[in-house]
Amino acid sequence: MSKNNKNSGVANLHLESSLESLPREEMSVTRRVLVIGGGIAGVETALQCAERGFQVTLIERSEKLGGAFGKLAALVEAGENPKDYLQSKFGQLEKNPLIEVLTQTQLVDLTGLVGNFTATLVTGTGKRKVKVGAVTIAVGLQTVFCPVKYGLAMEPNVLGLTKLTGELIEGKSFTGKDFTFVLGKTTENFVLPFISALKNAIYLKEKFGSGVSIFYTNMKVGGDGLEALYGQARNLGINFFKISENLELKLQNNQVTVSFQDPFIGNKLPGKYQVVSDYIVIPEEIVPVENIAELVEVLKVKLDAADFLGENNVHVGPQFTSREGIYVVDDIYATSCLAHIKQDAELVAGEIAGKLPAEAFSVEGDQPQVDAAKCVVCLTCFRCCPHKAIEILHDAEKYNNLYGSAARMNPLACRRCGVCVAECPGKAIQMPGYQDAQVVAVLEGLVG
Amino acid sequence: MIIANGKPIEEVLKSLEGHKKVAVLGCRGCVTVCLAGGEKEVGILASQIRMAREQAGQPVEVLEGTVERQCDYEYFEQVKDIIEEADAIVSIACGVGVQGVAETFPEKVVYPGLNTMFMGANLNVGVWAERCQGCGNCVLEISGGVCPVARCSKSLMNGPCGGSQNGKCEISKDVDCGWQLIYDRLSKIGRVDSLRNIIPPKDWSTSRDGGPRKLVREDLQLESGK
Amino acid sequence: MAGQVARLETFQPEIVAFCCENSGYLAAQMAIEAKLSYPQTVTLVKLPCSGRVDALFLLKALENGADGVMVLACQKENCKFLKGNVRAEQRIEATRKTLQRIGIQPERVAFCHLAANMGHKFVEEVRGLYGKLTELGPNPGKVRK
Repeated sequence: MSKNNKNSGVANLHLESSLESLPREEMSVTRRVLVIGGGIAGVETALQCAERGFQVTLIERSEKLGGAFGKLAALVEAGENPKDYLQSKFGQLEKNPLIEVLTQTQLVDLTGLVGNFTATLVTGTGKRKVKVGAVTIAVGLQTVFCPVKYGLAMEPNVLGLTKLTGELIEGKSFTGKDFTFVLGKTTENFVLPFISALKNAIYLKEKFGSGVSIFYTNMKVGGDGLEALYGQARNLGINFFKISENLELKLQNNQVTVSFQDPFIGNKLPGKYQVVSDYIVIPEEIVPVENIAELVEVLKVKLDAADFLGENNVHVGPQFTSREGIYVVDDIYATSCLAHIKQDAELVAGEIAGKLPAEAFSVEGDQPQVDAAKCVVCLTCFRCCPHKAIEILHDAEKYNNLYGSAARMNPLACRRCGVCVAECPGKAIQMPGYQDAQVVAVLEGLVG
Repeated sequence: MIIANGKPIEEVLKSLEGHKKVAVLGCRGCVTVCLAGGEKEVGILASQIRMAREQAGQPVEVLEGTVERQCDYEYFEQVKDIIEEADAIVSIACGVGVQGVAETFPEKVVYPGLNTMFMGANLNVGVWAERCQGCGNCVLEISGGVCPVARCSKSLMNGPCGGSQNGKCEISKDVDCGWQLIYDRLSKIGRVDSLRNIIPPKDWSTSRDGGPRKLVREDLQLESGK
Repeated sequence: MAGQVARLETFQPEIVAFCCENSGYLAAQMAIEAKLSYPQTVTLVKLPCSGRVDALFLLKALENGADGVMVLACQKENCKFLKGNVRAEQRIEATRKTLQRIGIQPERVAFCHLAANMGHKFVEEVRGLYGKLTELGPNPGKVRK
């Protein structure tokens, strides 16, 4: 009854497309990268892009570069001082003629598409327009200290993880003091607090001989060389307690008492246990930077469900956004060490270099193509494109319709999903390899 | 732009009862832009008609065509063949286009496939809103660029009625009070004071009240008068 | 007449499955490679994204002889192109409504979210639609038979 040998001879439309001759399109682009955020991720990205021959404009909102990195010893190897690392990087930035650093500068507008964006910057001295080929967002994250979520008051012996880190970097002594860490209650989606807690715990134990107990819901230490931290901590005599929700925390006479029931030995030795220490350390809440909404509006990208940038999607890496040419360095969920940030910066710089290989080059025009004679420039595709990859071009000589205009899927910005093709009310868009006629031919062959 | 929306398919099918060969005719003007009557909708409606008639045991042949604009009659030349072949036409242009078919092909039966709604703007994909009522005597210069005729449910000319509540019109909480919008706009451009000027009764003879309208520009008219 | 009765007795629903090449198509391939059995009357049409599925494709399939159609899309929040699966689902919902109004059972159009490694889910969905179509009988709207 049916013509096709269905299960093996799948209607493989795309293979047929090799028979179509695709036009090549000439592109000319600006090989300059705008890096937003002068923290360690931004600095690494700027250097990586410059290494690949790109000019770089690195902008930072505040007065100086460095961001939160100086306070996050957890990102570097134990014993290293992040500030020293930053200084060496600043030296490299200054020496590099390809990199322009603008502090107290913000991005207020971005027009155009990958390869040819125009960024409007507001600096201390006024507005400035810069042509850039790609944009990298390296704004990092923000921490908020919120002991109430743990049922604790703001007391001197209730410390946030980054606050403790800062005090350790500054050389404060904790000799003879015992510590309790409580992890995972509100920041379980992130790796950084776990790494930070383990590194601090090890440091306290080794340097001051502190007694350290770590209460955790889950222990997430994924990352190269990081899992060993847990073993190291145990070998040093740091106590780990798996907890469920009902942990009682009490502050009294400058001491912290934790009452808990151990889920593992609860059956054999029922009842509550108590651990008393001098300090309690809890992770700060991790939230997006405060101007994230404005940034998203300017960049026309989407946020993930937790309001962070970068795609949290199995098909799209977290370094990518909903638009081509706009990248994120510093995957918020996975960032766990300097090495990881460097990897991200390298990946993004490599991606940009691949996308914009020269000032002029040609690409295969295998993106959806518009038949201008049928295009009524209704903006349906322009509005529906999930990647904001469509431009409306005016060229009365080129476009043979009433408007002298037509929509165009930019070959560099388009990800080739075909949503525009399905939306077009005038059937003016066809996608190489997945033409309407090819699909309809399969359907017409159903009954033979 | 003219905004239209597909008629319920039942109505279209009822019109077509008894016809054996019909042509569905789209328009590349406003109705393509408002996603109601372009080439794609022609395909969808044609397919629906074929299947509906098939399952009712009354198969029908459906031809498909789309022209640049059904309100400029010369364009019908492009689809003359299929119109002559069909014994009924479903035009999915606005009401102007349906009448264009009727005037151009006086011997042919033509049915509307759309309901023509209003002149409006496309606020977002799938969302349209009325902005102009074609009253023939524009007052936007005194109302801060917000039309009291089209956007006030009562087309009041001198401020809101008592049904304006929290910026919404009494007819529905989803409808903004036109006069609230006018007030907000005038505030923004520093012209609220202009509301003190009383607008005399509007001359509605340029609107529908004066009967069917026709515009003739002698400076453009051809000698033949056609 | 006799011929028609005979055909009803051996009715094997014809199905067109529009497959996103990032999920549904790979799941189907997996099922084929694992030699999972599923009805032989399924025609797979590979598309770059479920968002490429035009409402017209669904109607054209039914008009041209399919008894049912299905769209296999990526998991929610996991479309490679971010919103293709959402657009596809909206179009399918609209198509079901119009089908119902012209006397064709909306259940003839199926939609499912799945991942590339779900060969079993693919088979399950195909069998599910096949079973439903067997109960419903041939598509009364098909113009080509």
